[in-house]
Amino acid sequence: MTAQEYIVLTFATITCFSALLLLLSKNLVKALILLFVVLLGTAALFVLNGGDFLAMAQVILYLGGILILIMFGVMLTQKGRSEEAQSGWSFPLSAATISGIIFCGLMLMVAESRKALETNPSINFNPTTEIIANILTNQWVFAFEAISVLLLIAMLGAAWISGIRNEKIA
Amino acid sequence: MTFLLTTTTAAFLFCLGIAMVIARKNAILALIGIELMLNASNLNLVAFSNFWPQKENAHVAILFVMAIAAAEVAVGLAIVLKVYRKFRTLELNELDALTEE
Repeated sequence: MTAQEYIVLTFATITCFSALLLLLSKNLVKALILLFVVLLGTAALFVLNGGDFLAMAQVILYLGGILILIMFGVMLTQKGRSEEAQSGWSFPLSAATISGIIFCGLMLMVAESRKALETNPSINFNPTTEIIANILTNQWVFAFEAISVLLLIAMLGAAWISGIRNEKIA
Repeated sequence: MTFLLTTTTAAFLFCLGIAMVIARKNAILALIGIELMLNASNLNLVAFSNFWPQKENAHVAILFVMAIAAAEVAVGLAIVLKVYRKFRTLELNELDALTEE
């Protein structure tokens, strides 16, 4: 194994271990911090697989957007100051069985694809930003516009659902 | 080896996401499980994109998945906040009424 593969192994271990702790944690704030570590590890794995723009988009969108949203959600749904946010598990055995079966199925598929492809891909680490910009604005410009409209609709829908029309904004 | 490690991590994260959606009682933790599943599928796509002549096509698709995940979290959290304001609890086992009776 080369040094780069050791780094991939390190980040993969950090990500998987944090996700496992995230499943097994009772405290809600600890779950948020572990999600932070999982998303950061995923960004590192993006870089090591050749997606540099994707890693930065992951950091900005997930860590700087979605995680902040979830933190706000946790903050606004606390009952009192003295109660810590705890959460337990329901149906742990069914969850473990189903996810174990799906994991075995996915690993079988990985082994099949490895056999079919017969070779490890040589990852080229050229910068991807310019090519992604070309694809987004020349080939897939309609999908780009459509997703802008989708984000606008999601924003309007979230504001409508949260009932902001019924509150008097002083 | 990088490919194998990345796809194994993606499969593991996906299964942990499924376990979190099934097994956790808080609604926000179920949303976190859904985010884990989406991240796992993105990671899988990145690992497989290296087999293509131009890997940036898959990267554009992954950007679309990320944007849709952001929109879904926004709407999901709006629903969670509205539910909390009405029922004062976020335990999924207790939220089992479709109408008020």
